[in-house]
Amino acid sequence: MKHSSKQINKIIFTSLVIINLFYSVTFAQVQTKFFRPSITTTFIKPASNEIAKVYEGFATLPMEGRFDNRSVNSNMLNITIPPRPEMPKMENPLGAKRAIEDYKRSLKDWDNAVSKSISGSISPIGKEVFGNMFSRTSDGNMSWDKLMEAANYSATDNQALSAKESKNSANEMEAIANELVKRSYYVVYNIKSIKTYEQVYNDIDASLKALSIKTKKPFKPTPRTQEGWQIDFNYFIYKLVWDDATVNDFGDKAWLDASTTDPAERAKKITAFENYEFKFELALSGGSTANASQSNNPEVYKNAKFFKIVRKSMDQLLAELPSSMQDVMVFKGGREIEDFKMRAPIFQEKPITVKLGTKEGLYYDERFFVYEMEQDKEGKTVKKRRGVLRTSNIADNSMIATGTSPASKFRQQGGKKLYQGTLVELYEDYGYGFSIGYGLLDNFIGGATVSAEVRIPRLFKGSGKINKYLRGLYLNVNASYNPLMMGKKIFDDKVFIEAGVEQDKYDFQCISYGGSLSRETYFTRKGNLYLMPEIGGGLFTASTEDYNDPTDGEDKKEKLTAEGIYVNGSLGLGYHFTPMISFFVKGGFCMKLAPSWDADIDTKNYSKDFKTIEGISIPVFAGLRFRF
Amino acid sequence: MKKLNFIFITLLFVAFSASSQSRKKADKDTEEWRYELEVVQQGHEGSYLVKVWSYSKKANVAIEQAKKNAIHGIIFRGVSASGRVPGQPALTNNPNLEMEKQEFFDDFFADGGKYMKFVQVSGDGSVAAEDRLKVGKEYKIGVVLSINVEGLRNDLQATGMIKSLSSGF
Repeated sequence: MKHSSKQINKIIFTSLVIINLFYSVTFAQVQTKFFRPSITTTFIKPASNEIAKVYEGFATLPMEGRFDNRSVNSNMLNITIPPRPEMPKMENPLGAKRAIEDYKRSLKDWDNAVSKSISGSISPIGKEVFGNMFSRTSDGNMSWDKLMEAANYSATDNQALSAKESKNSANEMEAIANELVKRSYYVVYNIKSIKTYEQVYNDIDASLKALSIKTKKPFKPTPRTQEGWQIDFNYFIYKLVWDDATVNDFGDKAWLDASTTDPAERAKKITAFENYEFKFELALSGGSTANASQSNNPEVYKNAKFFKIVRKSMDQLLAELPSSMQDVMVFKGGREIEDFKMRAPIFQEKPITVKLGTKEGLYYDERFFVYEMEQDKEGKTVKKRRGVLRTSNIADNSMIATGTSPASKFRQQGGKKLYQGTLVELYEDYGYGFSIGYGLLDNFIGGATVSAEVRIPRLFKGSGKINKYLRGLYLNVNASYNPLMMGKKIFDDKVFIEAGVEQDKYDFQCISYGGSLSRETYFTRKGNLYLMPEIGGGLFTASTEDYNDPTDGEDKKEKLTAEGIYVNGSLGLGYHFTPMISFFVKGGFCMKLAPSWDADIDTKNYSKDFKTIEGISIPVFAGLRFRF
Repeated sequence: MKKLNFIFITLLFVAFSASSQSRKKADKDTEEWRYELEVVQQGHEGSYLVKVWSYSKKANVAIEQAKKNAIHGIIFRGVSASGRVPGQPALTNNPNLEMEKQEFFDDFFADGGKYMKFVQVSGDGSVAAEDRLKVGKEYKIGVVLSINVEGLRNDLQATGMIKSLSSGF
């Protein structure tokens, strides 16, 4: 039986509608599968040469592994974006609620206006992408071949094997190809302003000057230590509308392939394609700043040859901005847009393996949440979080799946017992955190403590061998404050007695600040408990404002300060309450070196005091750790 | 030394009784034949891809029992059509066959029994995330299996459990 071209088109597009319906029923409630989304990057026409240069940098910028990069020639939108409404200043707290409501309303109006403006001008770009996707030739013919290749690459082992075992394997791949079309995303960047660091410092100084006039305090200019660029930008992420109505409409009006031979019909379809209005919906919009800077002190580069630190030109720094902009867009999109979240079920339980890898752009220590599907009382499927995983060994699966793709290993870091089939879904973290706690047994670095931390693998996002060894490694900045009323235990009792002063007359305060490296190590299956060895060092000071020098015979209060450096090491034990909050205790040693008094004290008489500061103590700390 | 031996034997006993408890649980669930069967696709050469939904308080038990449930379904219940994929009627239309030939089917569905010859896990053996569902206090696990329906039919005909198509009705 021979079908006419019209019938064939009808069959293809009707089957797509059926596939659409099947997938929307299956995945309507909770997305459990990952299909590689494609991203086309576009820009609002630049207002300056510098902005144009930043946009040019995107041409050679690789896209993150989990996305297909669909580049187009016509990627500039000739429109003007009105300024994004700013959050109003809250001078009157009583009017704050109303001001916030007004702000939200104006933001929504702005979103709608921008969205309308971009949607109108993005359609021609959609046409170019669509033409590429369906390998549209100069005579207007389209085919699924290229998209089927992408579907084959996107298919998981299970999908590949299922297609192999099926009598209608083409249907399986068509379904995947259709899911890929549905995940066509278009990102529009708009750089609102670009400033050199000199301009940034000028702006800061202007604000500080205004503040100093208001507070009647002397103005202190900001130290100008950096050079480079700072940009303020918006991004808009649009999704192609590819629903049943569009599939039917496009199939009827604009789809053309070699099976259509009637010249009049072909001409009609070509015209229909040229005039076709692709629809887009706004998936996410946001704004951020990005910086590319370096030290402006030439001395830094003189001694940095060993580390291969070279002073970059302003143009080179400009070229670093696209990567920062894309990182922001991908990170925010990954948190908000379901299609951006890579996901797969747990393949094996011991060790935990998941069939994700280099193809999806995994990096060491990347964070995933694990969910269990649960049917609620109304019969709806909801996902409940059961645990947290981080990548511990990345498999190279950058190939077309045949059923034997290698799986990556993951380490559980908190939660309940995980089973085969539970859903593993990307929920990338910022990689920053802080902790607050209290330290005992060493007054110089003890008392109230606060630390800020950055997860080193998150900075590099690497999948190479070196990155494997950086797993769980943190760089910390630590500070402590210990207001010791009545001067107790600052110095050994003996010293004060020898110095002829009564210890309980002095209010000392100890402050320390330093840095450290620490590493999270997991040793239980569920990973609720972790060990954290840490090594670091810093500076400490102990001072009192009301020291009465017993040697000068006067009853006059003076300032007494001791300063020194410390080196410390500790072993911590932590317990995860939630993926964000954990409790920790740690104990170790603290070695204080080279303490010295401030200059206005005759140190000769107090040399014995230093002996009590110098040496090793065994401090302990406990606190809460917050990670984002 | 005696103390060590005692500890070792006790541990072995505990491990064995835990495993037999889990087995008993699995068998109990299987005896009740609580499952749902749906057709996924028509496979090659007389095979069928079916998804069997099994219930158990332990997810792993439900996965283990899926193969038995799928074969049981093909023989006694059949699978209804889904979309464009045709259904598969039960291999027997005798509703009492299971009771009448209890001894045969007890052996057939024993652990490692003959049923294993006609079923294999489809895909890479993993359970899809949407096929692992917690319902109340138990799990509903869907496993996609490839059933050699032709082979199963021939075997049951050869052993006289079902009539061959050529023997008339």
